[in-house]
Amino acid sequence: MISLDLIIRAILAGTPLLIASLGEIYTERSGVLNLGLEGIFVLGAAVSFVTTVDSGNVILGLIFAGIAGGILGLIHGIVSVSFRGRQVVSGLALTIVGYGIASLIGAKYVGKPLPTYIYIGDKWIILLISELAIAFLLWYLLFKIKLGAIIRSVGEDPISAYGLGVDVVKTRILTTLFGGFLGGLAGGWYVLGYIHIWTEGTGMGRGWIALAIVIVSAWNPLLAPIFSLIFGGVEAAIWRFQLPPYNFNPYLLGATPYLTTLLILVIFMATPLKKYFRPPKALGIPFYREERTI
Amino acid sequence: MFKIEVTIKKRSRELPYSGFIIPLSSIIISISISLIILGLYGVDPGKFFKVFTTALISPSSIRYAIPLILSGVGLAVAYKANVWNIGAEGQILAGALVASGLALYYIPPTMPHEAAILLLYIAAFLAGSLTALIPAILKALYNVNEVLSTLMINYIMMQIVNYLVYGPWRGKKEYGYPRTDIFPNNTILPQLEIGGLKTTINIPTLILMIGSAIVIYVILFKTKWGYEIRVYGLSEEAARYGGLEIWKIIILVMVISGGLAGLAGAGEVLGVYKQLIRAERVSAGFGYTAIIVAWLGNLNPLGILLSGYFIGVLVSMGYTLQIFTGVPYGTVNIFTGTLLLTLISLDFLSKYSPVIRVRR
Repeated sequence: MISLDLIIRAILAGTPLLIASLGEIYTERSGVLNLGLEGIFVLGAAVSFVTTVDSGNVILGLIFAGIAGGILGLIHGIVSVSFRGRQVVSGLALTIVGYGIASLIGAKYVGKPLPTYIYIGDKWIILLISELAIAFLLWYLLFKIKLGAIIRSVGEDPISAYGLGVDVVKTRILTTLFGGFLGGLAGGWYVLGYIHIWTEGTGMGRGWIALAIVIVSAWNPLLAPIFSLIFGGVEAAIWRFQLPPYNFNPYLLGATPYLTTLLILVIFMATPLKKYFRPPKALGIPFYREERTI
Repeated sequence: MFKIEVTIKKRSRELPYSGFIIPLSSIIISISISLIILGLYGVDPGKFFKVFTTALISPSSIRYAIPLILSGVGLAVAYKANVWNIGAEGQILAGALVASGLALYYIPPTMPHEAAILLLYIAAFLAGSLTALIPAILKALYNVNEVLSTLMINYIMMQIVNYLVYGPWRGKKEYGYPRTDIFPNNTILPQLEIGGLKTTINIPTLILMIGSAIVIYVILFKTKWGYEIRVYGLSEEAARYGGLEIWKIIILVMVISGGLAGLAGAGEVLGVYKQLIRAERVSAGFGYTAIIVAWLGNLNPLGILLSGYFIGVLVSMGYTLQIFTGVPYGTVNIFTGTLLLTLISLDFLSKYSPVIRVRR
């Protein structure tokens, strides 16, 4: 049942989830929850498709997808950090905006073939190794050098960090921008490197799964590849189980990634595992500098 | 060298009339932003306004406002308690699914119309409540993040509805289309007639919508329950010190908000489509749009009656634009999403004032 083919498919399906969740780990480590990731992913998918169809260049497609995601990330940063809007509301609003822009810019491109795409083929081992290397690098940056300490400090205790001279607002906005960039890139990779087609709604739901991966990975870049592979594996298994000799119903199978996410969340929260999965203390809480009433 | 320094100070009082000015200016700002985006895409603003003004008086706007307001009022209850129910979409589907199943297979054709409808509404309310109860219990017991759990259940409900309409429930008289047969007559909700023409507005759900907005307003602002909900929403710590049983509040708000969304779902299938159709078309994102309705209405059920109507106009406009100009319906999302972003940014400016100093 578990064949090499299935594992390769799991890696391919898991790659966009990993890219998106790595970015969101940085965002959340600095104390900002970005539910806009879902819309950013969907927008990135549309932008990469449109750009690549027009330019015939996948690199350009990925870059533009990243930039589009970065812009949405920046908006979330400004609204939720500078203006202290509720992070959940701002993120959901951005997701809705992302859906809207994606369907508007993609409308005239539906059904067009991609002139070129990222072909992995038997180079999946290189893909896997580079994913692990990137996850390790991001872990190193976050836990072993000063930059990472700054990011984590504004997510754990922004008031003390501010007292030590850290620009909390700037740090949070930049990590949200970074998370948005990777989220957009992930959407782009999903189209160019995995499904190779775009229609309205492509990528919907993936951003939420990436958000769940962030939680079960305990906000740790080193654990994200494992869970991305698991969720990628569920997606690959869905494809496998629709075919003979299994012939499972595709709609019921389609619910499995979401059911798996729910189950994993419950398992991690309801068992002693919970104490290893402590969110950043200031996650979701706006930062207030000392203020006087006028 | 000059250095510009921006500090932010809390106003001693909120700006006067902010509850009115903020939504209004958000609407104006987001209209401008959307017009720019649509303009870049080559849509004539004149046409946009023509479609918009037509939608303002179109009965289809009220038809869309009904599910939006019902779900939005429910969501407001949850958000007042700081419980992030994002699951209205799945709760609408649950109500639609249970109402459809009962109407098709269990309600005898001899049952009186009123009894059948009452039964279906109750069942749909319970279905929505139960769907919301799962994340509520998970949050109350294990502190499982309700944003993610309600979202995941939305997708699971979608797949279940689609499984049914493509599989066991697919209609025998529907030429293989993914939808159930038309419901029996005694389960279909009567529709409003204007000048002898039937509209898609169904009267019972319209009445339920107005009634629930009033009832929820009273519960939230005039009863002890409502007080406790608001206290918990303002500060979990205060609620704990005050000796409130937090798990009860979480479950109460989720059950109310899920139930109202369930009613909206029943209204859609029994009063508009008269059959169960694909999940993407039953709820059509109303569960998410209702989140915007709730916030635009300032989480006040009476405000939501207004904001729901306004968003209903936009939804109706979106469908018209798609048919006559080819602009995809999703464009409405740009508008509503920008509206919400502007709204929460302006809310900040009503409570705080930026002070800009130039230093040498």
